[in-house]
Amino acid sequence: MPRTPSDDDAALRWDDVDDPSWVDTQSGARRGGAGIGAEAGADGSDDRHREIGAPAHPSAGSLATRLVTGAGAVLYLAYSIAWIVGVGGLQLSGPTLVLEVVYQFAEFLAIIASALWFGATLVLTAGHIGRRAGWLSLGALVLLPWPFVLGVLA
Amino acid sequence: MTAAHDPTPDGAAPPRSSESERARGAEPDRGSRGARVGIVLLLGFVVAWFTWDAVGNLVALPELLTQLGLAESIPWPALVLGVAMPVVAYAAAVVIGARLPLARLTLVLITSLAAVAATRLSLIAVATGTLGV
Repeated sequence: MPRTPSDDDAALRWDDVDDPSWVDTQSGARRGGAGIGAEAGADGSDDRHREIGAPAHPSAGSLATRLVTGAGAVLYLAYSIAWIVGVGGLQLSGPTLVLEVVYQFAEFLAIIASALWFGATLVLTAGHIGRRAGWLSLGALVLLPWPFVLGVLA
Repeated sequence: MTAAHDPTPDGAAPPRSSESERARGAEPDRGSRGARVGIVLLLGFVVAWFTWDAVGNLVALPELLTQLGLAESIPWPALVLGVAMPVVAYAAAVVIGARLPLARLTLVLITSLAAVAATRLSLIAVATGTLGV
């Protein structure tokens, strides 16, 4: 692990908690992996305890929020890929150059729609699990990639 | 939130809640009224194009299909939905974003435009699929 000492005298002191050989009785087992996170000497132990404490006691609400958000992320990523594939299969072309550009722009909008809907839902429903699940469900219906679905069925 | 500790009688509750919502929306980053209206109008041009395109389809496609002798397979639901959907979706986005800060209003409007673009392609794909072309 590349590690630059914060000052030239660091090697002459014994109180460096970033030292991999420094063993804490409570969290010594995970020192090797978490060494990058604990940068500062004095604040290191506090950060470690916070890192250990946070995932150990997640409230039911935050866990549900993470589940809904994670499921939504997977679904909307799949939608984005399906839209990219589906739009590629559509043979739409404008009769004039201007219309062609507008059509291409509309196709680009359709491709980024899933990501935009997911991002906007996350931003606007922070702290509201029910609203987040509802808006993500609505988006899953509205943005169903029919060009891809019909292409697969055909 | 504040309504839980509100000692006012039930009859006075709705106006107070809408008042608190308005107060929550009145943040410094709301942007000027001109900027908000400008964004709504600017992105409204895209909606106008989507609607214009759909009206063009609604007029031209039945004519074309009738000439080809395929009058029974005119996809009326898709054509009508194509005209109504952009306006309805954008209006809903304006209503939702009206109380939000300027940046979030813009995000909601652009998201609605993208959703309209995706739904338009879905309608085209479904209409084309039912024609069997």
